[in-house]
Amino acid sequence: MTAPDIILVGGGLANGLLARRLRMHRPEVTLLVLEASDRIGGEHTWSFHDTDLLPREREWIEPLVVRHWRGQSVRFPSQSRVLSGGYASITSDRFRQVIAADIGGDNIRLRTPVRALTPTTATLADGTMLTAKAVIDGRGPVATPHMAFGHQVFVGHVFRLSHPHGLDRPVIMDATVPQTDGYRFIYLLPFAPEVLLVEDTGYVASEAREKHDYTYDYVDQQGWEPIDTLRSEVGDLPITLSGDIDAFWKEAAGVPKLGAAGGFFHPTTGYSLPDAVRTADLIAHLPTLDAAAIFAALEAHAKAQWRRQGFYRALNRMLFLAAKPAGRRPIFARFYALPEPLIARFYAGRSTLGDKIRILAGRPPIPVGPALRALAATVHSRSH
Amino acid sequence: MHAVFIAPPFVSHLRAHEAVAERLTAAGHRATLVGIPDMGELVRLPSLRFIPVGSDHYPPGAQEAAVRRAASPDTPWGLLGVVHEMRRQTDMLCARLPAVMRGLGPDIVVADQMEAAGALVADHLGIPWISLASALPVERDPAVPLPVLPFDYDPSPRGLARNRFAARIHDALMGDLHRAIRRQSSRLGLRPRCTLADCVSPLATVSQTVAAFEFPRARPERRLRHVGPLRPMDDSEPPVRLPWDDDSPVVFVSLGTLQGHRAGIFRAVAEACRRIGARSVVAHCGGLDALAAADIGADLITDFVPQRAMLRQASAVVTHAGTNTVFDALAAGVPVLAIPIAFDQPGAAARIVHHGVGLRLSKRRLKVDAVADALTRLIDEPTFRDQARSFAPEVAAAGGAARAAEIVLHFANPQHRSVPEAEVTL
Repeated sequence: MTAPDIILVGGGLANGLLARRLRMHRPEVTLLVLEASDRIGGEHTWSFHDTDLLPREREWIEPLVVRHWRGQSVRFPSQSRVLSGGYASITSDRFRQVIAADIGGDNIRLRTPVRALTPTTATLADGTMLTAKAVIDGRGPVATPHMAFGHQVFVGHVFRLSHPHGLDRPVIMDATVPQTDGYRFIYLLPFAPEVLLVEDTGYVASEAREKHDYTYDYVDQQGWEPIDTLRSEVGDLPITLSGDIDAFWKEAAGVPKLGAAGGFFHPTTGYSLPDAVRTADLIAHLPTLDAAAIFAALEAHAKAQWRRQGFYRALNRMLFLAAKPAGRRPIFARFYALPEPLIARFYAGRSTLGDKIRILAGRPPIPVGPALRALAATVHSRSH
Repeated sequence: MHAVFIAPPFVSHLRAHEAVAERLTAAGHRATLVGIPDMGELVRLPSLRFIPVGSDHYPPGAQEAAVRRAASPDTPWGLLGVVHEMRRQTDMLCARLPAVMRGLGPDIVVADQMEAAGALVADHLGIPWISLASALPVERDPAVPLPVLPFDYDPSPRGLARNRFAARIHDALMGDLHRAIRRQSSRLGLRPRCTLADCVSPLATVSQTVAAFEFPRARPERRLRHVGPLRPMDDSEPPVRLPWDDDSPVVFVSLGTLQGHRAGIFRAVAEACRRIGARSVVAHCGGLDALAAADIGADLITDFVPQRAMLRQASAVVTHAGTNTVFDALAAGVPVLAIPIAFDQPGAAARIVHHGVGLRLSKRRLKVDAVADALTRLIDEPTFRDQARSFAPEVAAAGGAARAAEIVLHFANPQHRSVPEAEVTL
């Protein structure tokens, strides 16, 4: 077998979108995807707000979108609100269809875990070493001493109900549920009149996902009767608290990192799709596609983004470090009372200085002392 | 710890799984049952989370027809219908379980031996699983006739040849299911499997049987754990108040949850009881309507009766030889008249005769005289009761659901999964 130009390690969202973009713009570039599990895409639902993507970005992922909704809503004990912003979702089933067709089945190797990576080689479990002009690591979040993370954990089920659920737009947060070990909310995506994703989500400090799955109680309370479970998903999204971005990229030793592996996700919401679209575009438009060029582009992009995202990390520290688990909900409730354009800019990671002041201003939702300490907290690299 | 249970949608199997799940959840673990939508109606244990799948092929209400088919497995058409139904459900579960099971992320799967999909999907996803034998275990052995066969134990060369021959016929009849298992194991990227026996866990089978009741194996099965009947934690049943005031011997009659519609058998047994001066108590498990029930001529007829309490008051039991009734009878030390109908009942009846704990009659040409003679012997000859009573201590000591839960927990612990054939993955 001739060596491919690029080896994508991990068949997740970021590598999949990159493959699609390369196929469009650089059809001459040969690809090989190495996926540890038995299929690419895992079991996920990836969503985004209309305002997260530019029209030209939206255009090339359109075939992946299974459902678009006009509007979305949030529910808190103190208020419920319908937001007019559109919302769209991609499922891993659709992702597999579209991306596998893009890449070509022969260029995807399933059940192929990788033992070691360098910028131009991937060593498989059996010792086989594959070479390429560039090897890109898209294997998801990794433990690193250079970053401190909180966790957004979730467990969700796509149910078919005996009767229509009556929802015509997503409920991106129903935070009226009991607040047990962190900020807890239910996330609802109405895919069809009787088909609904119900996801129990929590912003929790520890990696230990709380064992109780609240979705069933919630479904009961709503008077819904599931007669089928089409699929289930679990996840653990990193929520960046602080870190040493220079040390983080130095640790990569020249191996380009994409997706969660490279820290490309919204620091507070954990949404990964807009970043995956932009990094795919970034790489597909590079003049040369070797490891050094890709690494340099990603590193520069990540560092520029890191500087812009300081506010979100500070907010995360307030959420995780300062606020007691039960005190986190009022922070979100207050946020969702703010004007819609501000919320849209927050989703897109483009909050203005005025936005930031408004998010933090007013009666502090948490005591000033712990908040200030949280804002000041950082993680120092141990490798210095 | 989170255990996912996969069982066929039959009450007798479900209750065994629920008993194990109850022990686990009482100890703070999570238990989830996945099955067709109608199964949700059967679940009694509140702490067992039920997850419905397959409503496109099994819309709510569909199970009634399937139970009707399973209720006549003793005719050739009925049997093929049952096999077809098993095949359909295995195919559906193999298609639908992976997407659900991935998200549930269990530490272990408890897979009923009568539903291959539990084992196939667990193996496919790399989740350890143990098998649960609600009925007689399917693990094969040259000396032991298949549970569906009425053969007595005969380890002579002639007996072994007979067992082999019968197994070939059995496998031909099961062809529809076996082809599905082969197809699904290939589709799921597993080594080829064909029979239900090929799908048993390499770690352990938890079986409702007790070792002494089984025929001796030519090749001992160390992974087969005979834990005895799997019963709920609160198993206290108050004595049944009988509406008569004499000390005539009581004969309890039950054909289980699937065969309660067989009025002819009930009628013959009730008549035989009258002849020998015994009182008959018939539980038809909802298989008869009020009119048909009144026509049986039993001294007491009802849909359900607390079976273990009833057995303690009975001098003999007439049963289809379903695993649950047989082991309840042995636990109570009551002699058994077996009238096997299908599934593993002929095998259980053969064991009853082999161990001298009872007698067997064919359901075909069931004569009142023969029933009366058999019941007279069971009630009057002390050897049957003595033999039945000799099993009681072993049934009591087998461990039941508590032991079964210990075994589940043991193998849910990653350190205990020394599977010889497990692949090494990073």
